[in-house]
Amino acid sequence: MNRRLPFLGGLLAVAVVVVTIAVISTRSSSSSSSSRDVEVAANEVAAGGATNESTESSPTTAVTPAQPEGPYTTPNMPMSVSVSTTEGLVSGDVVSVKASPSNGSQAYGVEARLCRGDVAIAFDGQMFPTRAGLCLPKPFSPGTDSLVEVANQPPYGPVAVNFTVGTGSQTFTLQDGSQTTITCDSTHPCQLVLKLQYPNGFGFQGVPLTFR
Amino acid sequence: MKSPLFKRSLLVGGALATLAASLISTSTGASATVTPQTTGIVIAAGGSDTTEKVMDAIMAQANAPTGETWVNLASFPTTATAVPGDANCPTMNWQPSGVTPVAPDRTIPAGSGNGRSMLQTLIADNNTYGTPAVGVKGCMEIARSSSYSSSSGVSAGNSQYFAFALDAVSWATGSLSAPAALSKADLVKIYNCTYDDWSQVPGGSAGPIQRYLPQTGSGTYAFFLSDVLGSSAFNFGTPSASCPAPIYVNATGGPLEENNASVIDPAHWQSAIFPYSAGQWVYQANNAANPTIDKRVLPSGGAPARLGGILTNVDGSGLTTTKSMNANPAAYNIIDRKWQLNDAGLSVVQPGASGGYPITEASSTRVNTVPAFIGVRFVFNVLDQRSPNYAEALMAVGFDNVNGSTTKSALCNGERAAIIASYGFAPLPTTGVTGTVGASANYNLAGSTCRRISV
Repeated sequence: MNRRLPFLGGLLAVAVVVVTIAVISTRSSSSSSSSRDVEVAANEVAAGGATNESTESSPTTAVTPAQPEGPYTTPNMPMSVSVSTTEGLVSGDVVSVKASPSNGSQAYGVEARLCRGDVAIAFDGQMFPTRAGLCLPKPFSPGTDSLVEVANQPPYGPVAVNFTVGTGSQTFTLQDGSQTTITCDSTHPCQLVLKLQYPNGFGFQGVPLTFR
Repeated sequence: MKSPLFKRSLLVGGALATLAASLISTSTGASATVTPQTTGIVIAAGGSDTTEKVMDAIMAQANAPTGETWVNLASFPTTATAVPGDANCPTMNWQPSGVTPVAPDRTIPAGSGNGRSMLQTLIADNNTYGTPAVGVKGCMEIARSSSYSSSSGVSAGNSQYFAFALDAVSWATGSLSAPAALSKADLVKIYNCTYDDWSQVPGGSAGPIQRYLPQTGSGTYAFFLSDVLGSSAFNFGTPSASCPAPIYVNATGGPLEENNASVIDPAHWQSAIFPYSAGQWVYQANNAANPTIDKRVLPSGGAPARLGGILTNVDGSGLTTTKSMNANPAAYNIIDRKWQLNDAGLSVVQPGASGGYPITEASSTRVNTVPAFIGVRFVFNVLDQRSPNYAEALMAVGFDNVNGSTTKSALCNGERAAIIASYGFAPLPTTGVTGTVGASANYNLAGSTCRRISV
């Protein structure tokens, strides 16, 4: 019996080692699987043509959620938007927007800015011209708009915005000291970005604009 | 007496066990990386009211890695907030103030101090609930904090503050009798009862003063005392008929939510003075069309509360002068046609402000003990390294402060700068500054857009 003790002790320790390796293997597998899941999910979005951002593949860096390229709309907003003609515009044309609250909701106001057409704008900061460089700081020409704000009044029904578009190119300085240029013309589609105010929040809707 | 064979068995078994233990140790080391390890992890944040909205956007579920659920708890909810459970926390109902929770449920933490304390309380709690038994140590991993304390609600060697933006705290009022700016000395005299009428301060006109303060668990409260009034143990003086005691409650008697002028007793609108986060004021001003966001206005309407400046003798070029100038922490960007913090970015596109650009990292007392401007602060997320989901929380709001490290959350990698600016705060650059506070010299070895200050 005593002679078996070293064997039994060793067997026990080996068992511990085997179990340990199994645990390590499981964890490693789980980790790899988790990373793969993230990459696949991101690639599926990219395959749909909705993103041009690279996805971080390093396991030690944050996963950047895929952002759609071009005009973006905040999901599930309690407002709907109807827009007049947005194609083949020329400088001086007016784009009419009507933002209507869904049943039971309210429309507090709309802010509209003329912005680059190839980006997704989903936050205020992206609409601030000198912060992000994505929207015009001033109109292209007199009589056209770069920003229109409409604050609604009770009972906060539909809001109408009339935005006079312009065309041209504008270079300006950002708060980080860099410069950027925004062009809206026949070869450079732009977008009218709407910030929609509703109870306990706000959302964004980008309306593509093309020019002739 | 043990036999030699028994001893040999112990030696052989021990050697193999040591080998196994070393492998286990390796495994632990591997799992301590900041890669999400499993699915089903729930990361919850709670605490500061000031940073609640910006963290709502940062912790949006769309930003969470696959397999994780991110929850940002409101500071002042009116109903219970249900949070799904995971391996380190049972399903919880966080109860609003005034509702007695039944374990494992808890009262939702309102304010920075309460958030940090809740994180510590949960980590220290060894109770388990349900079958299989689940503890509560992982029920909240992130404490939102708009103030810094090295002693309150933290654990030495375990707590880590991750600053992700700059803010400032100043005073606000709806009074037409108040001046546009006050010196620090006059602000102190108002809050210690030396002055009780607006006519006693330069630029003011006759009218009584009623001091207001947010609930004492708020980070803005703590910071207003320590950094604006100059002492965490500030003496508010002896109340009298002409200098009533500070009010800590809203118009209905509940705790006064910080950065919310709309809940102040309307009878005090012309007399009230109260601390306000400049970032929150900016955010509310930029959403003035939305009455559910703009809390600078009484429900009955009228002009919004003004954000007051704090007089300085530092000019727009950062030089000390003999003049006193109004350094308001918020400024109107005439190009963007939006309010923003009066920071270095604004100085680029709108140079020449006579009162300078006070919102700089160097003006935080975490960097310089005697800054050029008072009231500038970092806003933080606080983690505890003992948290079961520390690695995942780190990848949500932190970074690994190792020189050259690429381990950064999106928040600390500059990817959330637009969100930070959207909510009125000033994003941090990748290059930190050095100052007179020891922690400042090496708190950003990784070159992130956050700063790590360990306790």
